[in-house]
Amino acid sequence: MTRQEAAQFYRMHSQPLYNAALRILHSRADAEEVMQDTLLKYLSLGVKSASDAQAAAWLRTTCVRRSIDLLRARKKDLVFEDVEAAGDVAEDTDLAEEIPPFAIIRNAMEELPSPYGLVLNLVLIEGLSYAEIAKMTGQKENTLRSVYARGKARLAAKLKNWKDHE
Amino acid sequence: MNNWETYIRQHAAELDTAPLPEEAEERFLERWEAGNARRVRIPRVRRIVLWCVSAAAAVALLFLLRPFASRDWFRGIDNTPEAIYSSYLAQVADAWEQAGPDESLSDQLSSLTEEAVPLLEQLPEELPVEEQAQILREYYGSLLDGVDVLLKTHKQ
Repeated sequence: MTRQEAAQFYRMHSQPLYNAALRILHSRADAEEVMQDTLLKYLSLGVKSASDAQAAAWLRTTCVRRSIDLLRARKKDLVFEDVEAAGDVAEDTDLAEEIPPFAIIRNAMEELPSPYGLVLNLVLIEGLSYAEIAKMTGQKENTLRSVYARGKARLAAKLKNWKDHE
Repeated sequence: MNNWETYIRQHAAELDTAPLPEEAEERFLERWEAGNARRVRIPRVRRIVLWCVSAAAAVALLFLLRPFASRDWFRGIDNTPEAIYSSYLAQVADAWEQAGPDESLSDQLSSLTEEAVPLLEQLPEELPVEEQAQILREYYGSLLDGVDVLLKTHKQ
């Protein structure tokens, strides 16, 4: 592979990977490092037969997993620590009938505390199943379902009066 | 999945808009070049021989393992062809991570798991979705059985 091909590969995949890592890590430097590590790992494997879609799927999954690993390392594996103690409502919650503009939902999701924002992001944005998230985080699927429901309730509470804050 | 969850999923791509840090591409290319300089070049002929040996070993392993295949690799995954394939790719990615820098093991993993044209794309569209999913479960499940034993054998 030439330098030009490596640059082309970088331009094709860097943006979504960087953003996926940034949503998990909330640190531009860490997100860049994970994005680069992921791309370099793929290139070092010398995979030739993968289609662009296969490569993108591999990269995305690897990037998300590496981001979670780094997050757990940074927080000394305490990402899910306060979940059991949390006493907020865990039943299924829905938003008001009128859905807010997406930018407002995005900001509200970014403000959610670590386990809730993380699990909502992994389920809704990255499209991962609870089984896959359980494997990546070391948590039980039932715990993750509970975190998801609580996160959804918190998000609903944040967006309850979204029109007043516009 | 209710309305707003569907709404968020539909707009997920809009979240990938944060700009990359300045000169990130340059930093990436510097690391890529440094990695290239460190990597030992294997002569082309030797690489082809290694690949053939790896491929043969991987195929043999796959056939040896068939009678023992029992683990459900796709537990909890939606019963759709896309979900099964996506989960397969994720598990292969995980295996590559576990393989680390061992070039021989990586070659065997590649031989076992890479497809010139994914089976997902070869299935006739007229097959019911459930049937397509079942075919993929069985096929990719066998490959993952092989990957599992390959990694376990390598660790010993």
